[in-house]
Amino acid sequence: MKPAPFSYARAADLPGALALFEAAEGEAKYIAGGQTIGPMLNLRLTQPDALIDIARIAALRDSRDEGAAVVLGAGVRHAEVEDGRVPDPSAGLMPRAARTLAYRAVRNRGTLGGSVSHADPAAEWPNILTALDAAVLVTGPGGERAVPMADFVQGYLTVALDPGEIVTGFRVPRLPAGCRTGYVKLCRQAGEFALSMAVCILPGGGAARCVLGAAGQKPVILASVAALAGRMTGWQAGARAEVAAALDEDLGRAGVTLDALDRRMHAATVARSIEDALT
Amino acid sequence: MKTMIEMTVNGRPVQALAEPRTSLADFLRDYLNLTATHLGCEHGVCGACTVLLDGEPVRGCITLAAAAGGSRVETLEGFEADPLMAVIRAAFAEAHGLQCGFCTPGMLLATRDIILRGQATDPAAIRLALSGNVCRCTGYAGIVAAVALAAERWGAAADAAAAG
Repeated sequence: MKPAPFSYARAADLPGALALFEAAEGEAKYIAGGQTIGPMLNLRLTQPDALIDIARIAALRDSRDEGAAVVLGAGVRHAEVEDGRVPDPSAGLMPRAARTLAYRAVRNRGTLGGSVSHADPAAEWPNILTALDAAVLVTGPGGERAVPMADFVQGYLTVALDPGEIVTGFRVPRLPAGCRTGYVKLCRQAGEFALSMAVCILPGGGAARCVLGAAGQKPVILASVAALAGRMTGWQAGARAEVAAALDEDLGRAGVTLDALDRRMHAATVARSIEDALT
Repeated sequence: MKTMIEMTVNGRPVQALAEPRTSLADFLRDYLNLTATHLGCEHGVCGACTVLLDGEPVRGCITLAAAAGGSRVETLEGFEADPLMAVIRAAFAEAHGLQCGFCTPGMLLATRDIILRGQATDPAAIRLALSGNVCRCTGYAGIVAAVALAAERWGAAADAAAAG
């Protein structure tokens, strides 16, 4: 339950972090809040030779309201989202999800960038930021780029980061006024990773965006469910069967196969997320 | 290779030569002999290792001591003279908020944060806010009652101070 030995260096700024990564001997990893890599180090699931601490880099803490979008620094901690200490583009969806993420002591340290870089399909931010159609801002030896969330998360714990690259922030489009959101996380104990997690965003005008987490290798964008949800004007219990059928289409397209119990569980959370948005 | 780690613990500047892999909790216990901070699961689940880092509760087991370098750390030992902690300690004793006591340091520090953030509003809210602190003895009923009692007394004391 103690990590294998590693070297440790703290980066003062982004160029410094890239230089430390370049100069590191063996396998190097960045660490920010350490709330994901910390347990993995202690359990020796990961054994890097060098840790580069990027938690104190001011540029990663930079958030700003651009009007049509909000840029959130990768170093923003979950508790800051929970408390509304950073701008919220999501009509309350992000603060609400933050409250379900682990425990306050973890939320005080863990960061948006760390959570998304880890890309657990049962975690809050990969699913929420996919549903919000955020872009991931990346800096690395090759310069800067922006990657849509849907492309950034490639599979289980797998993201489109090249060696040495750092997630610096997220550009999150602002939801329109009057937009309704639904969020359902199912887990046995508060704060655990989700057994199922469904997000539904209804901006109005027939548009909708629905995402399912903890079902596949990565967040599953539900186009058929969204088309159905966009047509709904109110929630009726009879709609559950239609939602389940639409979900089957979406899961089939995504190549996700589920046993009967999991299918029922995920269909329930997806239906509840639509109900939550509509009521 | 060991590295010099410096921080302020319970108001006192400290430094020690430790391996970079040393957790904040191990640093406090093994290098500073501050053994109120307990290590249970050592992967961020049980909350026994809760300490305050720059005023906020964190997991001491998954925070590296080196990453806390230059910061302000408070352990349970630092709350001897804290008026709210005195109220919490008394409430835990009266309401049977502990049995073996292993989880208690983390429970006390978490409770203080929950009360200060105004989250101890009812038993369900207390249970949710305390869900990151595991107790294997009490079944939680005594702990939830203790937190509610402490919050009530602290609120009453604050009201009296405001009125007085």
